[in-house]
Amino acid sequence: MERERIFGPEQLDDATLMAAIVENPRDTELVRELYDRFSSAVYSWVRKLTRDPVRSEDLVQEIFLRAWQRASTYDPSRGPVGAWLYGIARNCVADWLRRNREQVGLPEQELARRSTDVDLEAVWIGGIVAAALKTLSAEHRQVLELAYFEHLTQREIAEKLGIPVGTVKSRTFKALRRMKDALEKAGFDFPPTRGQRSQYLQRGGASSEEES
Amino acid sequence: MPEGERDHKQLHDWLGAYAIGGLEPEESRAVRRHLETCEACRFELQQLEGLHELLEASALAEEPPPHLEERVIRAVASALERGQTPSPAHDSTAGTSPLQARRRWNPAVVSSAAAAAVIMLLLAIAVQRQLLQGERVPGQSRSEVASLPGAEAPTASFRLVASGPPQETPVASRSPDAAAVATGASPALPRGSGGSYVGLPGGELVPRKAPAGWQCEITVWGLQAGQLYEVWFRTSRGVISGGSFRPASPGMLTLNVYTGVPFTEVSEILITAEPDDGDPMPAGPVVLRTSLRNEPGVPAR
Repeated sequence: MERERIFGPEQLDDATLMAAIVENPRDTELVRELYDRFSSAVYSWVRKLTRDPVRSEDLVQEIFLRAWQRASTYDPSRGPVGAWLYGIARNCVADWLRRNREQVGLPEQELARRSTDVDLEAVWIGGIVAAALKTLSAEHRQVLELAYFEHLTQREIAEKLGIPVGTVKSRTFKALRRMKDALEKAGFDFPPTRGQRSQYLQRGGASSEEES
Repeated sequence: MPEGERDHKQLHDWLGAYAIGGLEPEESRAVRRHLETCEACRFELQQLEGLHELLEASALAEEPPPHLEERVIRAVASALERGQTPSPAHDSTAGTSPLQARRRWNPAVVSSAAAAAVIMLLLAIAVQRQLLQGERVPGQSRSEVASLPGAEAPTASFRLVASGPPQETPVASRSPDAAAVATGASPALPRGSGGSYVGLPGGELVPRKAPAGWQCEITVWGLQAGQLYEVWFRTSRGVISGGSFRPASPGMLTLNVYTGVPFTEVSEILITAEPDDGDPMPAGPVVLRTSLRNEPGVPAR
């Protein structure tokens, strides 16, 4: 029998989830929740970095395992969890490169260069945004996905869904506000004072987590 | 409705579509004209700034294969089997002492986190008091709690009493009023020679309203060092964990437990000694309990 929960880990915000992992190390449901929130970011990033599906899975496993092991090093005053995890991921890749110098087909320097690539930062951020998108209601998610993934105008979305274009517009507005709330919860600032991506990842020297 | 107002209502609804470039050209022009004169809409649009860039990035994301999640969970489970935990004590590379790491999770930090509909959560072992220093200073840790935005002055504290087997009728069942102990009064602490507490385990609990839900400061003593304990909230819908802790010494320990379960729904707070088997169900005997209501709670299990 499962322990009854009135509130599940999905209702914890990121920082509280990290604290809960530290305090309840045996509760793998908390790790599952961490995975659900960040697996798109971690996997997309690693996949683009290595361009190798098998290595990607090994690395994703290693990154989450290390995040769990070092959960207590997360300091909410230094930045969002996604930025801290980015530091963990970069260090995992660096360690992995050192260990697998021989097997890695690509020159080490090339991979190391890629790991700091700005495009790869966008992939990481995109994964976090994709996870936030999943927390929206199906109606809200649908209008944003049609606009962003299928590049449809509001009128085209209305035709596709068979609803008035006015409804699509007001729904889009509400969906964006929800999205903004979800992303604020994930640690993004609105309006951003600098570029949204670099602001998120560089805040609090996230990548220096294990290098220091 | 005046024309300007009607325009505003309609164009305000269009702002989202405008922000993501989804409007027809003539509609975009209408929004731009409106923005020149409408400060409210300019502000609203500014709030959405930065969102477009992020949503565009989401198209770069790739979903991991479904089996990867189980693989990650298995890796964590087997690390647990090997005796690893995220505890800083096992992580020599973390570079922080256990106390430092825990202190990061002070109430002020968690309060911002709690702004959402936070739930139960997190058991922050805020301060482990050193018994050899003599009497507990009642106001000390509370000042941290009192600084929490939205926190109200404490109204009552509850005595946690040693309990028999879990099925047994609670030793004490008092209404909040009847159980109230003057705020700031030190509990009568049994003290032995050499500064260590002797006798039955005991504790004190001070509930406070927090921005989301409520929190309680629990001070316990006389528990076994190294034993895993868990805090439970009993409600009409079942028992909910408030988190676990492991005293480093049998001395006095203060915990801050935050919960999103409304205070009025909690009938009893229990502390159980749990076996180290990873089973998330309450399994061990109840060692301390306090009743917050006159009416009995539902069975714990």
